[in-house]
Amino acid sequence: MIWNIFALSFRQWINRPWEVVLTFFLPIVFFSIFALIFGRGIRSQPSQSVPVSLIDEVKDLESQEWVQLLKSDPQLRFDKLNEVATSSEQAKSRIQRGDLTACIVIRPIGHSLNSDREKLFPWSIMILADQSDQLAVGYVESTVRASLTRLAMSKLSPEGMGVSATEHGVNQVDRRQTVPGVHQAEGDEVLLAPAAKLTPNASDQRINGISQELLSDLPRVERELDLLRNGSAGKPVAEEQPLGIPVQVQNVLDAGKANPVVSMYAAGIAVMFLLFNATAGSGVLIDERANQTLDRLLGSHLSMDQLLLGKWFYMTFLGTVQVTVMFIWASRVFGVNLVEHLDGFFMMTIATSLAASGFGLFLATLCQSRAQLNGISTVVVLTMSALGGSMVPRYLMNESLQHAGLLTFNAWAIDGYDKIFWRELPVNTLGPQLAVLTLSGVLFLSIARLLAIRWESK
Amino acid sequence: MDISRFSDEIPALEVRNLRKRFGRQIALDGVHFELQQGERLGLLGPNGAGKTTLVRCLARRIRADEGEIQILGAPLAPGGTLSVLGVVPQELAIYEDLTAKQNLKFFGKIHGMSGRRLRERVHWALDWTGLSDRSGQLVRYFSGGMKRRINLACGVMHAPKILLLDEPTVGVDPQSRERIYTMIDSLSAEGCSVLLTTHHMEEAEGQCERLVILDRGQIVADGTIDVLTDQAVGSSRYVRLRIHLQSGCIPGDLLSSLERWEMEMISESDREKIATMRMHEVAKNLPNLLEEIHRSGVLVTDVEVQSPSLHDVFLELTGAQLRDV
Repeated sequence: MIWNIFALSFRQWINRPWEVVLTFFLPIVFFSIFALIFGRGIRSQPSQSVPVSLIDEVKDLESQEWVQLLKSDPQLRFDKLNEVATSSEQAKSRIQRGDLTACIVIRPIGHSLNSDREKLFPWSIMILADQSDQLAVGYVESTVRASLTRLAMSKLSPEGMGVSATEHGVNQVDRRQTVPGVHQAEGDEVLLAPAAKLTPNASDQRINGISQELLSDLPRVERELDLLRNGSAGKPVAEEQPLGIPVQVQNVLDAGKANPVVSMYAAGIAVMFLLFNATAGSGVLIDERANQTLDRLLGSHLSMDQLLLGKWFYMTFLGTVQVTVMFIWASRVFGVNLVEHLDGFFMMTIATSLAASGFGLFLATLCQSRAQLNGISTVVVLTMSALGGSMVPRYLMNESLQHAGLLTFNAWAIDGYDKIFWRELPVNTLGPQLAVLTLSGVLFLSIARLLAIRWESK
Repeated sequence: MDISRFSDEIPALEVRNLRKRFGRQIALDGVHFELQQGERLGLLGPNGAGKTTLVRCLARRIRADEGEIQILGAPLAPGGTLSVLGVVPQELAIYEDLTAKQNLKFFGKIHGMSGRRLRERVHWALDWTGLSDRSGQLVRYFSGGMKRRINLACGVMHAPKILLLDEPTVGVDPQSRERIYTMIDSLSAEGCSVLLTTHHMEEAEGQCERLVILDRGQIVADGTIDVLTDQAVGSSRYVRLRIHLQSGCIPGDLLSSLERWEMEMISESDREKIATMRMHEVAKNLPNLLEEIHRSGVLVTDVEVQSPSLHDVFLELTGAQLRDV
């Protein structure tokens, strides 16, 4: 008898070819997507650079030398556009808009130079950052610290420290060529032009002490940098300062807001469930067709246009309510600032719901049966959610996957919600997202209408 | 369409030479019939005969390849007959997650009803179906028969002049079936013309004044049951004889008589046999047959004469049992 049940189940399964395909196809699809994201996809290649800007308010030889050292890092992208930022405020504005991930500001020390370090490097570093991409910010901070340490070491050693920075992924700068005056003196002589502030009487002991500190600090910094390069998004370099050079990270967008991941996931999950609900809701159309209710409806004063539009608006309404309830929860429990962004929130939510509803109707009119719809929608919605950032933040993906993500509603919706809740940009910046989502909704509804022709009088 | 201006002589529904193909399969092949005003016409046929296709053509859900359909003298045109036609599909085309009242209201609204008129019709429909006390209950909790009644009511919310009923009693118990018949009776009494599609012989025989038998997309018979019986089997009757063979075997001269009368013999026991046959002019031929049997020394213990049923007519006309094709 047990065998009979086994055989029965197997035969039933075989007789549902769509389910057979899904049984094998679905795991492979999702394995491949996540393998792409977490395998080759995570930022671990030098080619995936972080867009940064740099403002040098000191402009002495050391700072310029350090800038050159920093710019030689292939994973930091100082393109011309990013160099446009000429003031901290301008940089903050660009970070808020999402044009930049970070801006490195070299600032003069405001007080009198007390320590040897301050005499050697009379400046501090401020990293203005967008912490929504925590991986990138951590990488920038580690790179800054590593390069500062390396620069300091080179200044303190007459022969250079003999450390091949290139072995660690940071190109060594030929100081003799780029910074005239460096290493003009030997032994107790003045080491650097600006460091002339360091008196000729500075003792070897003190220099050696600093060197030892640097030597002990460098491996740690290098280790953490390697970890970041290898894709382990660990905690950024600790609060300790390399050789006492102050490196501060200021989150430009962090004014009392919830963790960016919370609003991002709220948006991501919202879109995914909008898609699931829209496809499930649209499935009613297939049921109506199967039980001849559609015939009865179309035999009345109701037209197919009215029927589809009615369903579209209803699912948009329901989706809007659903997402609103979810964001109210996110606001109450996780501190997402919903009240102050109601306008942008509703614009994005309605547009996203329109798109999801249109897509759901498209899938429903494409399929012949509920089973087919369930199978297809599961594959499509989960794929879109994986690629679009509903499951894994898109900044963890490589650039090609990030671009591929823009083919999904999820990515556009999450970008829009990110603008509202994290970047706090005005609603007029939502234009691209609103346009793409709304037009997609209309487009899919139109395709659904064309597909539904076959269900009308024939 | 203002139907009040049409005289009673105009057929409620007239179908002329209707043809419909699905690929290489011919679903309707020159169908031609009329439904008179206030008449109850049964559309009978085996599964796959084309009944549902015909109903869908009449309901404008399928466009015929050829032919013409006239509703109260006017050609069937998109949007032109919405208020005249009511369609009750074979499936339960209602929303089970709505209450009975909500279903009725919705289907009334999509037929353009509103306000007082809608409330009155909902009230009437609940009363008509006998579901007034269940009006607020979700349809999913209804029995099969109750669902069928609501299904029927949703099709007549707009008080159509012509009602197309596609297998309205499929899967319901005899009591519910009777209730549905009563509901249809009341519609007929109000002057509604009914086209009842079924493959239940008893239903067609009992509920319809006239029958159209459809087979393989063609009308094979059209008329009252008496006419159809005459057409199919004429004056013949089924004769059933129970005979007792004293010797246990049929005498040779009787065997030749039975073969001549095309009788079928069934053994009940070694000595008891049942012989059946269709006989024309029973009054004249049956005594002759009995005389022949008596002469052969065989005892006839029982004689039964039956008029042909619709089932017999159907088999005669379609040449087959109800079948799935």
